[in-house]
Amino acid sequence: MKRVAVPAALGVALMVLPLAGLLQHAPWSNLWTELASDQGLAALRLSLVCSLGALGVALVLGVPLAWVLARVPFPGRALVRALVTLPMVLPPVVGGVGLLGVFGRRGFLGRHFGSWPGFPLPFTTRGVVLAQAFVAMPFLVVAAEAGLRQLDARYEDAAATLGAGPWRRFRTVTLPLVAPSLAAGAALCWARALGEFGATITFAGSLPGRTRTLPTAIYADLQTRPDAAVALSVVLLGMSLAVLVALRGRWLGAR
Amino acid sequence: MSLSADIGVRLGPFNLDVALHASPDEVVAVVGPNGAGKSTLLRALAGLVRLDRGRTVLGGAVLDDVAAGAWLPPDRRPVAVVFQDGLLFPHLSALDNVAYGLRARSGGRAESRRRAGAWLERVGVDAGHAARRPAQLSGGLAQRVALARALATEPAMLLLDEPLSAVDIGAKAQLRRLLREQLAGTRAVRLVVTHDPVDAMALADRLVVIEAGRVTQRGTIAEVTTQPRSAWVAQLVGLNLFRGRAEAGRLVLSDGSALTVAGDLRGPAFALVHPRAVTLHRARPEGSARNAWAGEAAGVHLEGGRVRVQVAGAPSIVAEVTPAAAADLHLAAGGPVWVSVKATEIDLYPV
Amino acid sequence: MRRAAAVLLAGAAAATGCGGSPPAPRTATITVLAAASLTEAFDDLVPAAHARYSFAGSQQLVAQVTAGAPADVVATADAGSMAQLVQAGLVDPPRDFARNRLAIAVEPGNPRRVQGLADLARPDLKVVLADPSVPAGRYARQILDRAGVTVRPISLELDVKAVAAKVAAGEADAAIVYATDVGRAGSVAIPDDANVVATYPVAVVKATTHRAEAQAFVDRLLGPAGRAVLAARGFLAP
Repeated sequence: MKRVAVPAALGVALMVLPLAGLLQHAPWSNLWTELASDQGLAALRLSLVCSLGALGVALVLGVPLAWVLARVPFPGRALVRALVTLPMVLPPVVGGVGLLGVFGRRGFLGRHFGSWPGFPLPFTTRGVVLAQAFVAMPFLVVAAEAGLRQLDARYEDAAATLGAGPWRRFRTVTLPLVAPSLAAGAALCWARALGEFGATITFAGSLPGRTRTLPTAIYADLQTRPDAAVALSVVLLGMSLAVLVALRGRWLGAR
Repeated sequence: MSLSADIGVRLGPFNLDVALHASPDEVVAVVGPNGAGKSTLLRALAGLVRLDRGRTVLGGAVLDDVAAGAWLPPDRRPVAVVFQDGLLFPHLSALDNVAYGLRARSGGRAESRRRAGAWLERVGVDAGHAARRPAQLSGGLAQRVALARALATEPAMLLLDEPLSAVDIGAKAQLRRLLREQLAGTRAVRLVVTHDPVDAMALADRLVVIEAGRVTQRGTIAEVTTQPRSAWVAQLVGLNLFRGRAEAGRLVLSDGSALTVAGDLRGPAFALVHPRAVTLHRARPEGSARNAWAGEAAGVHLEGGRVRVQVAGAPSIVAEVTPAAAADLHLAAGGPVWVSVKATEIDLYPV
Repeated sequence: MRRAAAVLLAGAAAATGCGGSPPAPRTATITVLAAASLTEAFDDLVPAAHARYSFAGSQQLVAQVTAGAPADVVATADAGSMAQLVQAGLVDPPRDFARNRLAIAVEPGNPRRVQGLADLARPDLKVVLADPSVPAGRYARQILDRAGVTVRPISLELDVKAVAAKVAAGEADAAIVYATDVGRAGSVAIPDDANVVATYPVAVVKATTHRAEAQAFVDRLLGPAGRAVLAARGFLAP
């Protein structure tokens, strides 16, 4: 018992101490002033817009992808699944470099479509959304696919025999039944997008109001305005915590 | 509006290869052991499984025709299914479950719900239960809702997959009666898949026996019961079935004869007597058996080490005895014989 | 909250304090924190095999030393950053060892025909600058202000190497970086009257555990070897 308790306690300490350190250093007395600065608010607003945009992209592309992975057997499905979840373990900076390789001015798509509407992407707010979606979408796909796999496909059969076509089946049966998994995946996806730093700064740079999201602003402020950096960090911590509580209210409540 | 199906589906170790005809004036039970392909047959008829060979025509409309490359998807077939465990949508109330099919077939929301409510009433689900989610309904109630959901679409063909297997004993008889009534009240082609001979006999007019993907026997219940053509049929379907009216410990049959039975059931009922529970004697038996009557041994068949003896009388009955007993009774050439059955060996079911 | 945090911290200290520290190697490898623009020059001076380098924006170096990073020598790209460390009593008196000018980095061959600072205001040019929180960014702003040029950069990078890299990668058309950071990109000079000359100070960190080796590094940097290497990389003498 003792042999497990010590490393377990150290494990908790490792996870919790940095948060305690953050809170201890937070400029509580002028937290609001630090947050309400133009730069802080701009970063907060940009982060909200971009992370919700990334979530939107992830929902529109990720749910059909999860559907295909869960339901359509095709050769190479395991490979596709592995590739699609790769960004979860890939250093985000590498993702940013890869995005530049595709959408950058010398990238193999950016080179040809750089002047099309919607382009260019690097160093734009759209680019931030793209970078965040790249890093965060796997969280949604994995959760949605798991939900779809657990779903008893016979409910969809039942709906079909009642005259529901594919789209109605998806909308009225599949979607409501996988909603819990989907919501969990969406929350994780959003939180991950909110915290994205490496791919964003590599692909989209760091321009206040345009591409400087909360994590980048924290990194920039750390050097000149540490109080502002900690204040923004507290905001991010609070948002992440809110996601977690919303997701795992049951866990925290039970036992 | 009748069904004509010739269905071939590859099923791993064996193939399902079944020709099936059903008309709207009868209820057909598809019976057979587990894994025989009954459910696959039903899913193929519903369009949930694609045929590898064959053709299905329902009331002149082609549902499947592999040779012609025709296949009507399940949502466009006039076919409704009552699934084994109900398969009610867990996120919808009972009412919305029933309204689902009406809505899918482009019914308005309010009108669909109104009609769904009427259907629920018809199967005995009150408004209080109609508002509940399936998880809050008992197995019997859930199955009533499932039945209403299927009937509400007014299908040309109604398929029931083991409709009573998920229901506990107490609710079974009641639900069985309801099913009989509702099945009788629709003009659809009606197919019941079941492995329970009691359900088959209670609900169906005709049996189709499927074993290992092939039809091994088909005919009226009387035909199949008296002349089972396989060990499985003999074991599970080769039972003595009597229909009549139960009154105070007796079941009065249509030929005027009566059986003494246990219990105090009243009204239309049927009785099942396993052939092994039927004892044959050379003379009038003495002892505790409450039912004893004289008859004529009309047919003797040796089957898997047992001898099945058909006794013509009032009522006629099938007995199963050992070859030694058959020899003792000099049954080989037929002749007069006495029959006895203990009242406690007669299973009585309300119709 | 503060009390809870203190308790947790104390617990962690108690939990980690029991292990003995490993014996110091005989010839100690020192850790040098240096401004990003010094990357190549320092690698030339003392190969990375003999010193641990950590290159970052000068303000980040200040933050690291302030936070107690285990460093022996720190070299910044401006006097102001170093002054913060001196004021905090974290370093020995610093010495200037090099100066650097700024230049406009452009793509090789200058395809967008950037002639001077005024061109950086062209709307068809994608310009990247360093963030004003690092010296290179502050200098760039001074230069542009002095020249009366308003630039709308596409990004304010957090260290000067990242600025140069954007031009080298072709993602930006022009940037203001140290003359020494132009690297693979082409460069357009900024006239002396408009330019800023950055001074690079170096100092031994007071908390060093290898004072002799640290001082040796500083001496080598200030001596003929250091001057030669710095000159070769485009730095000016102090």
